[in-house]
This record gives sequence, C-alpha cells and structure tokens, in this order.
Amino acid sequence: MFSIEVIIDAITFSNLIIALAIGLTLTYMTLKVPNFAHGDTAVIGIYTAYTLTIMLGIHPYASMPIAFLLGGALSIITYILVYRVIGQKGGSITTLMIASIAVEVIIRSSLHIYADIMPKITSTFFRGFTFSKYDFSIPIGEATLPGVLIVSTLTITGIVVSLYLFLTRTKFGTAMRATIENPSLASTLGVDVEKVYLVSWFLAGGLAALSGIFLAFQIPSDPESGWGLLLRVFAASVLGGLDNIFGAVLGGAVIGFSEILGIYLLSKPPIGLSPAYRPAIPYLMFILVLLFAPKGITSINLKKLLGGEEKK
Amino acid sequence: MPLLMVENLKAGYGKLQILHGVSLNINKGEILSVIGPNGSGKSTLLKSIFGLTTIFDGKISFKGEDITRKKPHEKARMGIAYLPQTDNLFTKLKVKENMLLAGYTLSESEYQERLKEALEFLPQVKEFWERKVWTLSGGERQMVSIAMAVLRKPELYMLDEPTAALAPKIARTILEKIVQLRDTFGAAIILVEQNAKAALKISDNTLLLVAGKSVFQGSSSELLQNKELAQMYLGVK
Amino acid sequence: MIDILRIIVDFTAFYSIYLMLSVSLNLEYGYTGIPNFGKVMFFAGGAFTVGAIAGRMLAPLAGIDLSKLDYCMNNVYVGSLVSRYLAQHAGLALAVFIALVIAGSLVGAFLGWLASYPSIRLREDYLGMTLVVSGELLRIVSLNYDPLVCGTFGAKTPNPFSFLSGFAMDFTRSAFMFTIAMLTWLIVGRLVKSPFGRLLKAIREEEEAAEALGKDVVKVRMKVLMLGSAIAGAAGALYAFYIGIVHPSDYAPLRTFIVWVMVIIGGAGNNLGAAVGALIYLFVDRTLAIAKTYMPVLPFDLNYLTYVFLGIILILVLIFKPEGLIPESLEVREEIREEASQ
Ligand SMILES: Nc1ncnc2c1ncn2[C@@H]1O[C@H](COP(=O)(O)OP(=O)(O)OP(=O)(O)O)[C@@H](O)[C@H]1O
Ligand SMILES: [Mg+2]
Repeated sequence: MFSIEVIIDAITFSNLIIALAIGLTLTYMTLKVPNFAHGDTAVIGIYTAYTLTIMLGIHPYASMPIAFLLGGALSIITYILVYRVIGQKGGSITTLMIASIAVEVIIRSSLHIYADIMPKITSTFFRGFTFSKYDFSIPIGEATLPGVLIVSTLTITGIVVSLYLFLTRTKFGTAMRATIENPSLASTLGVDVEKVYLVSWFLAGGLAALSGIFLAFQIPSDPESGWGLLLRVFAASVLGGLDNIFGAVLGGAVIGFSEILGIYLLSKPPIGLSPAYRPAIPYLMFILVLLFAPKGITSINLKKLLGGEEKK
Repeated sequence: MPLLMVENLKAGYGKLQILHGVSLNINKGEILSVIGPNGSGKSTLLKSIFGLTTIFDGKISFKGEDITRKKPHEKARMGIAYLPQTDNLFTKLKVKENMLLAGYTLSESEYQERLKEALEFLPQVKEFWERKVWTLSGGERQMVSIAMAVLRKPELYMLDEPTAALAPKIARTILEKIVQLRDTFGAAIILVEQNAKAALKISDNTLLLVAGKSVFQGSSSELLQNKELAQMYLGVK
Repeated sequence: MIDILRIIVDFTAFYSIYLMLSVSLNLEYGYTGIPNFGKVMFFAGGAFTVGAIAGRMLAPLAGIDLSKLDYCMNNVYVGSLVSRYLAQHAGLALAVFIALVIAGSLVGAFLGWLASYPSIRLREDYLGMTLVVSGELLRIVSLNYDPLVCGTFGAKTPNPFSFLSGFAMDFTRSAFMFTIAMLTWLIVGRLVKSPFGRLLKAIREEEEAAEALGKDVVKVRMKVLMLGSAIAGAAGALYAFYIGIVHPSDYAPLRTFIVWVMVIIGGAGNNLGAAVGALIYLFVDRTLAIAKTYMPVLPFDLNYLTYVFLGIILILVLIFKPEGLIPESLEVREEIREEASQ
C-alpha cells in the first residue's frame, strides 16, 4: 500500500516530531506553559548548521553538537530573562503564554533579518535551502536508504533511551521527576529546583536545535519553518498528554506517521486532495484529540475501547 | 545559644498575612510542641521557617547564622528536615524513589547506612518498597513520610502532625520514637500535634498559637497548670 | 495640505479596524480571561465572507455570466466591473456594504461558536493552543480551496464607495468605518459596566465562585467568545473592503500578536486602554511606514526589526507594568474579588 520511500519519509519526519515533542513536554512540565518558541529553536539549529556548512565547510551532521549547545543556551537565556522573572512576579499562565508568543516573534523575526543579511555576505541564498546534497545513502536491495533516516533514527533512539535511563536510574533524574510533581516538597529535601528547571530548559532547547537539522535534510527550510513545526508538536504533545516523556514519544510517532501516510493516501485518486493540505492533518488531529481524549493517548482506556468493539 | 531562634516573625501567603509576630527558641535535645485550633497558623509557622511562604518581617537564625532569606534547599542542606502536613510524598514515584530523595544530600555510603537505620525504625516501609505511593493507604503513606524524615537524621526536625491518619497503636509508637530521636541523637524537634495531651506529655516546651499570635509559651507543665488556657484549648476540665 | 489630510483619513481607517480588534480581545481576555490566541481566524472569517460573496453575488448585476468564465482567474476584472456598476447605484452599494459587514460578523460569531465547542471548557493553555491551531487550519484551507477566496490568487473586493471619487471617497469610507468602530467601542463600554460585565470579571477572578453563584460559566464564556468574534468578523469585513483584495496569506498569526500588543500595552480589563493601545501601536506603525520611505536602504526588511522591538516591548511591559498604561481600576478589582469570595 505504501512505497518504501513513503515509509522512510514517515519515519524520518516522526523522529523529528518526537524529539521536539519530548522537549516541549519537558518544559511544559516545569512551568505548565506551552513554549511557543520551541519550533523556532529547531530553526536556530538549521541555520547554525547551514551557516557552518557555507562558511566553514563543516558537514551538517558534524554541527549537531554545536547546534545542541546553542539551542540549549538560547533556551536557558529566555527562561532566565523572561519566564522566570514573570513567574517570580506572580504572572499567570496566560501572561507566560503571551510572553512566550513574544519570544517566538522575536526569534522568528531575527531569523528573517539574518536570512536577509547573510546572502549579502556569503552570496548564497539563505531561504529555501536543503541539506540533501550533503547526505549519504546506503543501497539495500532495490531501495536506497537515505543517511538522514539512519542518523535521525539512531540519534532519537539514543536520546530516548538515555533520557529514560537518566530519569529513572540517576539521583538527579529522579529529583527531576520529583520536582515536576511537587517542587516545594523537592526543595525541602535539598533539591535545587532552579537547577532542575535550568536543566529541563537546556535539554529541551538543545534537543530542538539538534533535531531541527534533520528537517533541512527533508524539506526546504526558511525562518517560517518553525511555526508549522510548532503546531504539529503541540498536536503530538497534547496527544501524549503533556505530562510524561513517553507519551510525547508516542504522540510524535502517531502525528508524524499520520501526516505523511495520510496525505499520501488522500492525494491519490479517488480523493486527489492537493498535497498542500498536508499540515491540516496534524491540526485536525489536535482538535480531535481535544474532543475525544483531552488527557492524551495514554488516558484512553484500551480495554474499554476493545470491549466496546467486541459488543458490536 | 539556641539551635533555632525565631524573632517576631510576620509571614503569610502573597499579600495575606497569617503570622503576626511569632517568636520561639529551641535548643538541642528539646521537643517543642506547637498547638492551637485549626487554621491558627501552625503549619504556616513551619513553612515560614523553611522559607516556603512570603516573609514580611522578622528574623530566623539557625546555629547562629541568619537564614531568614535562604532558599529551602539550602536550609535542607544545613540540617533541617521538614515533614509537611499534606502532600509530603511524591505520589507518582515509588516508595524507594521517595526514600532516595530523602537522602538527596547524602553520599551513597551515608545513604545506605541511614536507610538501614530508618528501616529498622519503621520496618513496615520495606513491605511497600517497590510500590508507587499513590497505591498506598493514608496510614502507609504517613509511615513512609516519617521514615523519610528519620532517614535524614538532621539536627532539627519540624514535624507537622506526624501521627495524623495513623491507628492509635502506631501513633503511640511514633511518639515514642520521637522521644527516642531526642534522647539518643540529641535532635531538636518542633512537633505540631492535634492530640495536644499526648504532645504535651512528651514535650519540654509548648507554644500555643491562636490566630497567628503566640498566646502561651513556656514549659509544658506550666501550660497544664494554667487553668484558663488548659480549659479553652486542651479541653482539660 | 491634502497630503496630511490623506494621511489622517488613512490612519482613521486603519485605526477603526484595529480599535475593533483590540476592543474585542479586551472583552475576551481583559474582562473574561479567555486567552484568544486565534484572533486572526475570526478577523479572516469576516474578510473571507466579503471576498467570497461580494464579487460573485454582484457579477450578474454587472452583466457578467459567471458560468462562462472562471471567476478566480478573472476576479480582478470582475471586481472592477462590479465596482463600476456600483458607482451608478449608490444606494445598492451602501446596502451591500452594510449587509456584508453584518454577514462578516455573523460568520465571525459562528466561527467563535465552533472554536469554543471543543475548547472553552479547557484550561487556558489548552484553549490558547486550540485557538492558534484552528486559525492556522482556516488559513491552510483558504489558501488551497479556491471556491472560498480564490486561494493563492486572492479575491478582489468591489469598492462600495466608488460612487464618489478621490478624497471625498476616502473620507466618506473612513467616516463610515470610524462610526462603526466607535459604536462598537461605546456598546462594549456599556456592556462591561453592566451587571453582565461584573459577572465576566467574577468569572475571570474566581471561576468556581462564579459557578457557585449559579451562573453557567461555560455558557457565558462561549457567549463572550462569540461576541468578540462577531466584532472581529465585522472588522475583517471592513478591512476586506478597504484593502480591496482578500488574500489568505494576509491573515497570518502575526496579526493576532499585534492585537495582543495593543491590549497589553493599553491595559487589559479597561475599555479605554484598548482604544489607547490601538492608537499607540498604529501611530508607531504608520510613522515607521512613512519614515521607511525616507530611510537609506537597509540590508534587511525593516518590518522584521519592528517585530523584534514589539516583542521586546511586550515582554518589558509584562514584566514591569503588567497592568498596562491605563490599568483597570483597583477598587473594581477588589470589589469583584470580595463579591466572588462571598
Ligand atoms: N497556601 C495558602 N494560601 C493562602 N492561605 C492559606 C494557605 N495555606 C493556609 N492558608 C490560610 O492560613 C491560615 C493558617 O493555616 P495553617 O495551615 O497554618 O493552619 P493550621 O494551624 O496548620 O491548621 P490545621 O490545624 O487545620 O492544620 C488559614 O486561615 C488558612 O486558610
Ligand atoms: Mg496544619
């Protein structure tokens, strides 16, 4: 039913959404505020890698650690300068969300300015570029596996596994989960809550910037790419329940696959929908989730669901 | 010099003031009971000492050092343990993870040693070691939270109604253990208790709090002799 | 002289539109606490109504047979023929104008009802996200579904004031727009001073308490979102007529952001604040637009720098003056709190 290319596309795209959903969920759990600038942080990663490639000839995959650090640093800076200050002054969730939207506009507009200026310095275009010409590929039988499929799958799997071990097997990871549940109790036990928040924001921003690079291997990128990503990540995170990392992984996979496989099916006859409707799929799913499972996918009672079907 | 000294503490939540100038002293090896009607500010007093409320005025010093503006996690590291009245466990975590967090500031070897002591103190906790806290009963939870406080073996305990929700027999054991903490380790303990009579029996001094003000402060036997107060607040006839 | 008058007339038109948007958001957020991060959706709803209906509806009157030509491919041509026809029929033109502004507000209200359906019961963060996502959904559909506003072509809107010309036309049009905006402002001002307005603030301050008073909070919030969206829809219709073309990409989320800037700077929960906030924003925006023509060529688009500054200002206001320039009166706040806690 699906060609191997479509499946490859779906896996690669899901990897990206999973990485972003993990980060969004992580910061959401600390402040209970959806970070609207999360998608733009991914684009920061893309532009970091692109600039390094153009100016220093560094391969985009090799820029991943630098993007990670830069995205993490930016994320921490916005947390310290904006969210923490407003939080300490007793700002409401809505106030924090407005601030987050302001941060989003600032980053996106700055990226536009950057994309306007850089071509004059490097005489290369800074909008609508992809990394696909830098990618490698591995032929397997009749198909060829693009490098980004392998690299992103390995990276995301590695991240999910190490995050799991970190959160469940280390003292600091346990303290992080504890802080998310009850910050004041954690502080009475000697946990530096502030440090936990900083680590969460750093990880979230770093992960976003790092995985953003994968997007540029798949589709042309520009400063607006982050906004569309963000809304998909909202869908994935809400589907995951916004209260646990593993829900985010599941939500990211569901959203990523639905979008790619969905538009593939819908754009073929007999429906023949324009592929431009592609983003509508995750957005619609977001609304459906709110209607039918507002607490996320993990809250769906599978037994009941299956039992209901049996009766039919 | 007293271990903990609170001078003229005014504190509350946001702009709402609950404590209107409370002072207290406690020395090593002493138990201080804080009693008073519901809503009189007992829990708020403990929270304020730990830095979990808004402090408007006053001074708190511990071992001679001014800790009024210190953060809770710094106070925890200085050797103060606080057992909150409610929400005193991480319900989504396992019992063993809760215990691990109680020893957050300790080294691995210290932790193992204290854990052994705490489990000897409250062996029941071992029975639910691998369970998530939200699956425990109220009394079971209370035992875990006391075990957590015991594990920390601080110089100053602040216990907010440690025997609430426990069967009378276990409650009595807990109170006995509290005495033991004082007598064997020389710890100082601030104890908030609904059961005033039981508390007075084991405590050296008592603070009677009414509407955020200290109404009586002195040795527990003195309070029992003060007919008027004893009648009003202890139900003594 | 004419130049300055022109600037003022143009300013008034834009101000009317932004005043309506800011008043509506203030009603939703400032008074009721609904974080409408999808304002642009309702604005677009009104504009799309005009874009979708006006040309198609009037084309037969202007003697064009739409079954014989592709409307979207020829909509600029059709639009100008329709405008020419309307120039001869002033009464009809104004009737169409008023009718479509009303239709725009009805569509806005309908979208408000639709959007509130899955989300109005949710916490403010979920509600905020839902409204953003719904807005983008509408934009994607409108960009690709030609029967609406001709997708990426955009749809030309006829000029209902073409019976006049030159300055007289601009002046009359702005006067109409300003009258509608002022009426909206006055009506909302009245509404929020009425017992209903006090109920809204009670809902914002203390939802449970308001519920205990026997008020159906969900229903009231739904009504407010519908009313706010009706205003935004009317503003969208006015904008569509004023700009002369409806293009889906014009209804991007940045517009929502700008309305938030106006409300927060002006002072949420204060009807005068909404008016002042819109005035300040528009003044800065127009000044920059004029200054731009005199400035040396920058290596980047100045608009982006403006957005960076707006973002920074918004954050600074949220940190240092969260109540805005014209704060909601404190006594009212206290009274509401007391009432709510009783
Ligand atoms: N987080 C809070 N925010 C606002 N007010 C609070 C908060 N916690 C407690 N209060 C108020 O502070 C006052 C004192 O509460 P506190 O919990 O200190 O009483 P208490 O003496 O411990 O009572 P109890 O015996 O019932 O435990 C009460 O009026 C209570 O309503
Ligand atoms: Mg209490």
